[in-house]
Amino acid sequence: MKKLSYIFLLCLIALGFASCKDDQFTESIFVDPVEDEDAYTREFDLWLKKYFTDKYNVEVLYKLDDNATDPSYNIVPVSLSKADTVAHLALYLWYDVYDSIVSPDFLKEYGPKMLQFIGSPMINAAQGTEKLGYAEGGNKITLLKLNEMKSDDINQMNEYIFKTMHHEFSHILHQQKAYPKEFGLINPEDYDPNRWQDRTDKEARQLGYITAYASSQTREDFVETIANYIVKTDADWAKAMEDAGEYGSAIILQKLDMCRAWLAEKWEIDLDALHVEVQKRQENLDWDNIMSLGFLNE
Amino acid sequence: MKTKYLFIGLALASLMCACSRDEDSLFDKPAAIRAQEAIEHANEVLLGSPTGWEMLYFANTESRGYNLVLDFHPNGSVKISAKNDLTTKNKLMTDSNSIWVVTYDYGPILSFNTFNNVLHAWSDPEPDGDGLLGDYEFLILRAEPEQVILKGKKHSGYTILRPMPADMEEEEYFDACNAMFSKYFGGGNIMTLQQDTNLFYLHDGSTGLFNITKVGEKAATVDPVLYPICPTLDGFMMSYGFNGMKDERLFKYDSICFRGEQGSIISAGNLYALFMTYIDVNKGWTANLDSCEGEFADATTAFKEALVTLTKDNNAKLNSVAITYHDSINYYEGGYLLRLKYEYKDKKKKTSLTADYLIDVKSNNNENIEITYLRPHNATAETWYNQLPEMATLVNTVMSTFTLEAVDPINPVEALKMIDGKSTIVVRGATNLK
Repeated sequence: MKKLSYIFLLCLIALGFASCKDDQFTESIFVDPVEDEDAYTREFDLWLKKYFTDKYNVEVLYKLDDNATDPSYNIVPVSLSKADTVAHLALYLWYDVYDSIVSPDFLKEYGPKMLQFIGSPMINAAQGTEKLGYAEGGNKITLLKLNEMKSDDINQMNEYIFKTMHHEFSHILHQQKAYPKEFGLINPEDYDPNRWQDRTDKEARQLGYITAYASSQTREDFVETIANYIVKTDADWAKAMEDAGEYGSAIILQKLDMCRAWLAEKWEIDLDALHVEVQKRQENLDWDNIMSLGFLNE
Repeated sequence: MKTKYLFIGLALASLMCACSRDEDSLFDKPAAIRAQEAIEHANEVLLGSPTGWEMLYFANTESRGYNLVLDFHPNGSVKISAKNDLTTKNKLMTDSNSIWVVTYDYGPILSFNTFNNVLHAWSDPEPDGDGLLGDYEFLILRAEPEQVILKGKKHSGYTILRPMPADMEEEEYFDACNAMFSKYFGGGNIMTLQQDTNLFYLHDGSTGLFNITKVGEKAATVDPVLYPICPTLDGFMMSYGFNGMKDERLFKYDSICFRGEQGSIISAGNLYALFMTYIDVNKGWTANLDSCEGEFADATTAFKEALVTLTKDNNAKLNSVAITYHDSINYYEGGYLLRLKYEYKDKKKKTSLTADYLIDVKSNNNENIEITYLRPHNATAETWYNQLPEMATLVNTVMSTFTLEAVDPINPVEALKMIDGKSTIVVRGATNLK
């Protein structure tokens, strides 16, 4: 029996040798554009590396790789100029806000590890809906429809971009620490994941959801409540509550309290302070400061 | 028993030895090296054209092709231009603020991975999620200095890059391609594709999508097969090879026909068959009254003068003389008409008249066209035929047997001479004779 074991041992050793192959390990075929001193995008890539990768441990993916998206949608890449603008705005209205309101390391630790920019929306013609962004696996946020951004229209940018940033980041947060189950029990009867798009925002508010999309399902309701509260001016929020009426606004405010408490308890984030800081920055959107001078270039 | 185990062990060991690590690989190099070499080769080729590239771009397999001009820069940027009626409103549009890269997926991939206003106009999904269904990532099927063949990664349209001619401005290139398209495909031209012994008609190319039907089938009665085309400076490209000849894409004009790379010939074919088929498909031929000669020309002049005298309107004129086909001459039966349109002013009121004469048109063994008078088809035709001898003379000059001669061999629809020894009637294909 002992001999038999040796024989098999020898066989295994022979197998080991046989499976060793003369692989030729070569240099990576992928060229790091930052290493290419003549690259057309070198300056922007270096800027992204400095302000996103090095500072927040996040990679900004603006050069579209179709394999990294849902192939069932037809999409186009973001333009270089829009990618540049959105990256600067993300710093100004998102990353730097968390630095000052929460802590300088917060987004480095909990923020997404990949931030993907795409030029077009993802349109679902059958449902009559379009995606403006999505979060995956707690570490990747994709922002869509960026080519249509109008930098002179704060309401449009709020709707398409800033709200999406906070919406998707809230997903990242609850993907790491679950939101309270009670949130979904407040008014579950009107969630409709298939026909939410048939409602107007006003109709949804009267049912107790801050937007039509919030009425699709609980987790969207949760992050829509947070994102809308952050980006809406006080006047716009008051108007939304007016649209909601007595019944709807009471529910929305109850949900907002729950979001506020969850952020404070689980993340030590002051939602009201976040709202105030974002509003202050949105009101004083100084493009020269954002795109060239100011804190970004230090 | 021990011996048995020993043999089993030896057998296993021998099996392993049988898997020789020196066995010849199917490929001479590891996959990573081959991928790297494919990328380097593609980069070298794409950067190797000092004049840039013409791009014969098919967004997908069902849309007509469009011309673009590309100039790849070693720093990763690319300049793309176009001028067409679909995406640039016929104005030259150029965008040089985007980048390109060759990467590797299931083969070398040429990707335009940031938005370019010119190229991505075909890929923008607005407003219905599909847009124009165009690709911006391409599998590189072949990369050679004289030609790069690409296949759209998502929508599968074939696209070809060829070096731009030296000393040719982009706008000049687009105008020349558009002129080629208009001249040979814009007027409802019907061509004959000869592939070995098979003959096909190509018609309705003005949309950039040829309808292809077999010779012998009445074009209007069968479901056509659509073949998208893209004009080039010297011919055109089909998006995919016709009738199983997958590499038969580029057709070059050589003054009498278009010749494909694999030997297919596209020509006007038999002019008499074309004359009849064109009437079936497009409904008619109309005379170019300024180019006609002989008795017919004399008769048109005499008719006009008689019209002036009769109506006392010096501006009275003969507008057109056409041979046309109507599907329902006698409610359910089709027939040919000789249609004359003329106008004059009667007490300052403009009067336009159409005289239709029922005729018979036939091709005799594809050697001549015989036109025979039958009877007036409408009241105007009858009245004027009887009252104005010049009208009868004019009609009768067309009732003859004609041989045909194309002014341009590949484009007879533009100008076709009907010759009977007494007259030369120059006609062109007409798609709307109502």
